[in-house]
Amino acid sequence: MPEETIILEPSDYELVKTCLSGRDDAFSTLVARYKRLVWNVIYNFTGDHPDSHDLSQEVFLRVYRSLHRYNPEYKFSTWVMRIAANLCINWLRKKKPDPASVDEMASVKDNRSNPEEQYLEKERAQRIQEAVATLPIKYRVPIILFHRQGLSYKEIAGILNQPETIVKNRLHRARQMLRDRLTFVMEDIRT
Amino acid sequence: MKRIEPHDLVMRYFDHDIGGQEMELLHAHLSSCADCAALFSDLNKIVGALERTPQVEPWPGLEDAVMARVRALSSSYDRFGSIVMKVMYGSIMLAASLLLSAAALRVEAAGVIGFLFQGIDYLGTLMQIGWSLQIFYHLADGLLFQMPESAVRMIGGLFVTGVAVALVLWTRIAWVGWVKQGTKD
Repeated sequence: MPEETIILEPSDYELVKTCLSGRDDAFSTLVARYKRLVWNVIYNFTGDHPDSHDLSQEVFLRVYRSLHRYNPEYKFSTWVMRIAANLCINWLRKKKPDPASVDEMASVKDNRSNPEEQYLEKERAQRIQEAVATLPIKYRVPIILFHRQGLSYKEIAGILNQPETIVKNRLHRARQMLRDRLTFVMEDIRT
Repeated sequence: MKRIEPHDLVMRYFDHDIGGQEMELLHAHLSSCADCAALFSDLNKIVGALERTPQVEPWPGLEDAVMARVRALSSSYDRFGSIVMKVMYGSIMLAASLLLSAAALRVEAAGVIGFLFQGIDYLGTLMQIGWSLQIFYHLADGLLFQMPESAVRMIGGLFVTGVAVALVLWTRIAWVGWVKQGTKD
């Protein structure tokens, strides 16, 4: 029986150390690993805004410039998401409201086989995303990070530098606000 | 059961932070309270849609665009580092040249023969480790201290300035090029 050669992928921290030793090619492996994560964080915050491309590149440049500050006690993905989320929060604060930037969000692929169901699902997703986009930033951020990115309260609290209780209260309030804003379309959503 | 408690239970359900006993309480309450049942149903649709909507595929050119900018950033560190090194070595060499030139002038003034004797003496030390330090020592000991005080001050000032400029620039590259240099906190 031929011997199987197991090639272990380098860990994130090993790649960070390789980058710090001057080998930039290791950073391209990190980009390949986390481009989907970063893109989705940006996308969830910005919708299909033209700035998404620049923001996603800026996240990785900030990661590259801050590699020496990475603490391996924390997951690299959480650290990257923290940088991405903070960049998006700053972008949202500077940007004027643009609720029409979520069309693309509803055009994502759907596993449902029934075309009518697919259409309804897209409609629901679009309306909900539009409602999310109208929330004040302090309520929008926990909704996106918790329900779209799947972060825990602890991780969100770390990103926002806020106590977990505040994050939890804002998330509860944000859900309630979403429900209130979707009252007029809730009947359609209930179908 | 107080009104606030079922609402809390509904929220905790969507926090994914609810135990078995609390789940039973929630179900029991939802079957008897139309308001809470409507709240639960609405949030279930909203949260469900948020969590079910699939993640999107990244822009195909993202990786190449990032690496192009990383390489540009990296080479700018290299270019800056190269300039700093040239400036640093240039400053030191300038200061050293001025010192040696001044010393050589004093040697010439002391007479060609004396210079030759001194040169032979220095040649003898060339093979030794630290020869340059010895030359510097002899020059400083035998000649530099005989120079006018103003000249010594000028040369010393240039040397100190050169070293200070080099240190400042070197600190700058250490800061800007930290990642490239592989220095950790």
